Amino acid sequence: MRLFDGVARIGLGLAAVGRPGYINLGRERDLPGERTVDAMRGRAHALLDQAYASGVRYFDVARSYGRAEEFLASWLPGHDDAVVGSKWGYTYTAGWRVEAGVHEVKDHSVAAFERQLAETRALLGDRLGLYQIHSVTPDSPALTDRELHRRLAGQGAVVGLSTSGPRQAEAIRAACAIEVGGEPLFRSVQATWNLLEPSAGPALAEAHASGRAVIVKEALANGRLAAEFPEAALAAVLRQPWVTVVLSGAATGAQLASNLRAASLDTADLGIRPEPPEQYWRTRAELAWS
Amino acid sequence: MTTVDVAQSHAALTVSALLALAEEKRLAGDYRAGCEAARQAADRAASAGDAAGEAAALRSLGVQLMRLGQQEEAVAACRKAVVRLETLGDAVALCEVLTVQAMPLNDLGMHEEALDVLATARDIAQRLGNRNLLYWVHNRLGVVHGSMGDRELSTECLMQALSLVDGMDDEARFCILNNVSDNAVYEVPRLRGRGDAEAADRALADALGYVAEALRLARVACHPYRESISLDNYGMLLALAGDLDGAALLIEESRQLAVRAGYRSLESAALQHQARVRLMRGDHATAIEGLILALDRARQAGEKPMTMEILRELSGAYEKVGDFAAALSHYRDYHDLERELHNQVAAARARMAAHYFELDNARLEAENARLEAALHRNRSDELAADNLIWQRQATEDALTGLPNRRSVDERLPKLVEDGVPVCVAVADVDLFKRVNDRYGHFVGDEVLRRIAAILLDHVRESDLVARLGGEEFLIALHGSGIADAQVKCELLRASVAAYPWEQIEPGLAVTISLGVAQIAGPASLPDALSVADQHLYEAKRAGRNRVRAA
Repeated sequence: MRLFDGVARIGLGLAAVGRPGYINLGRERDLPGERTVDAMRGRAHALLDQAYASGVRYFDVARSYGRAEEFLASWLPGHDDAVVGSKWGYTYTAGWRVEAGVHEVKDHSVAAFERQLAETRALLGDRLGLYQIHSVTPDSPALTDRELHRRLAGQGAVVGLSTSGPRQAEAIRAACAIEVGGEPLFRSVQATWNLLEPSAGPALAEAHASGRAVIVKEALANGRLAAEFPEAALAAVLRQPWVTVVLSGAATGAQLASNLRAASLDTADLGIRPEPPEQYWRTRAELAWS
Repeated sequence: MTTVDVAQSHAALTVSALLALAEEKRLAGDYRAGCEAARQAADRAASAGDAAGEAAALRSLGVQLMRLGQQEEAVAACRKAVVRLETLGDAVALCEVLTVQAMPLNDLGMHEEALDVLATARDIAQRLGNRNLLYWVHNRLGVVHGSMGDRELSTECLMQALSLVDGMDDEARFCILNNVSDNAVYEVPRLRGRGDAEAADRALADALGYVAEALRLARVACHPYRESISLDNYGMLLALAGDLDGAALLIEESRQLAVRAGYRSLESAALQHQARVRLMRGDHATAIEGLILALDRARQAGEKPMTMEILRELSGAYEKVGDFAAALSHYRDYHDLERELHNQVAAARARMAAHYFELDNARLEAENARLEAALHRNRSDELAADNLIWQRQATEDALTGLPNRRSVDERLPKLVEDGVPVCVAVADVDLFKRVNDRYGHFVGDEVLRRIAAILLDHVRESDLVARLGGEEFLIALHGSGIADAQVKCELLRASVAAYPWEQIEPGLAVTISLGVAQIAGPASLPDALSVADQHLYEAKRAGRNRVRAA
């Protein structure tokens, strides 16, 4: 996968700093009480600077991460070798509030794609290297909509998808079977894999074996593994031979520094038992936005 | 010493021989002789201190008293057996007796009590994963719901029992086939009345198949009670299928069998059903004669619910022939009896409560004697082991196995003394009263047990999880500052909310609220607990299912 040639194996995702509210644990501790747009932009730029200085080159955002695309776009000048991936499929609806009824709304239709692609391009222009469908599940219409597939193939950036839910492996395998004009449509797969929820592993290994980039998100399980083993849990992801990039979801400089240290860590068995996928995702769905 | 051994084995042999005799009589439908043998077995077992034998005899006695229409005595026998089995810890036998006890309670009109004992039985059966026990629970639940007039729920329970009967003995097979066909006698007219002719026909065709098989099993077992009851059901189903002649023949055969064996309630039922067949023929005058006879027998048998049913039918029949005065008079009798029955149920409840009180006292006395004996044991190692058990009981919550409040008072100051930061959280189950009210205390207890397991599963060994009482838990997080503690409590909250509660009871959902505070040192422990309580209160006020730390 040429897009990621020479790119460090740790990337930076801006889900936690593009908006005031998110489901990661410990945000009260990690972020200032007053989360204005300026304060969050300042935090995002500081993290981007720190990551870039440490060799990180892949940066991951999404339309639904509040103003994450905008924060990244305003930082990109002068960082020409940065690789940018974004996602469409969720619309941010929280209106810059922590306590909103609904924070994001999912829509995988052609109309949503066209609208969000135009919004992403308006911010990131041709710096958009990878455009992913956000949070695909096996029942997503995006897996069967041929018109959508044709438009995705023609939008210019590398086409990818991200997955979520207890049936990630099924969604990944279904996506990898999709072709447009005799060519595989998706060249990159982003999925949740961590010590508590490793069920997508075999499907991700298959995706890697077929020449696709594999990006791992939520390596610290939305903060659940951060308290005790932040570095070792991330190192456990890097040890998987099929991982192209693992995303750090850091919200503070200290967390990012800790995540970056994982690259040079020899991992030991942490004795963490994986949870049944259904249980893991049910718990994730119950985490409060804060 | 030898003399005692011989005496014990002799007593045991007598009890088992008597029990075998009681069972033989029961299987032959000779319930009077069966009761006598079971009563003797129970007395002998009691005087020999053989609690298991006594429980088995009491169970047999309960079953057979019920068949003789002595429902209150049957409940008392079952209740006594339950006490013995609880002491012995024999869950399987306990569950079996509870399923028996539900039947006389049901016949006494004490439906709530019947459902209550069956709920306990179901919990045991599910916990043991025992298919046979589950079969009996569903079977009995079907009968009770049918008596309460909820035919739909009754059918559902009976069908569940039917699906479990494969591989069980002929008695169990007969019982469910007969109950399903008996239920159909009511269910078919209900479906027809609702205009659902197709479902009614299907239920009737199925029931005819079931009842034929039930009758065959009854005849193979040479069991007159079963034969009589299945013949009666068969007849009523044939009548519903339009074969009135065939129906009359079978019901008459049932009646004759009942008369010969002295089954008064079955005789009365057969007379009532013969009259119903005549009514279906339009032969109201003869039907009235038959119903009057049935009424007489039902009164003699003391079968009040059946008497009421006959009075209502008589009132309807008189109305059909234009004798409105007689119709009204029987209708009044019906209502008088309904009131009387209601009062009797209340009186029976009071009598049984007194009986339970006596039993509980006896149980307490037995327990006291046991404890006294235990205290006087002179072997030091046994005493040491006892001490350990006592200590555990004193510091452990019996329901969840977690440390109790007393244990918290001892352990929490030690945890704080180490010098590392400690945070304390008070967790409370949201709207727990509603769980108890809606699903019962068994489900409520199970919820508390599972929450205890979830909390334990998500803390470290150096932390402390305890039950403070009621639906309130304490979590002490060792080595955590307030920010870390808040994160950990948020995960505990989310884990409880995410637990698949609906697997315990459909529609069940459970959440907890938590208040967290940091303990500055041993001296500030009471303050910290008070702050945690205050934060818990704020979490509740903010809408529950949340964590408040500051």
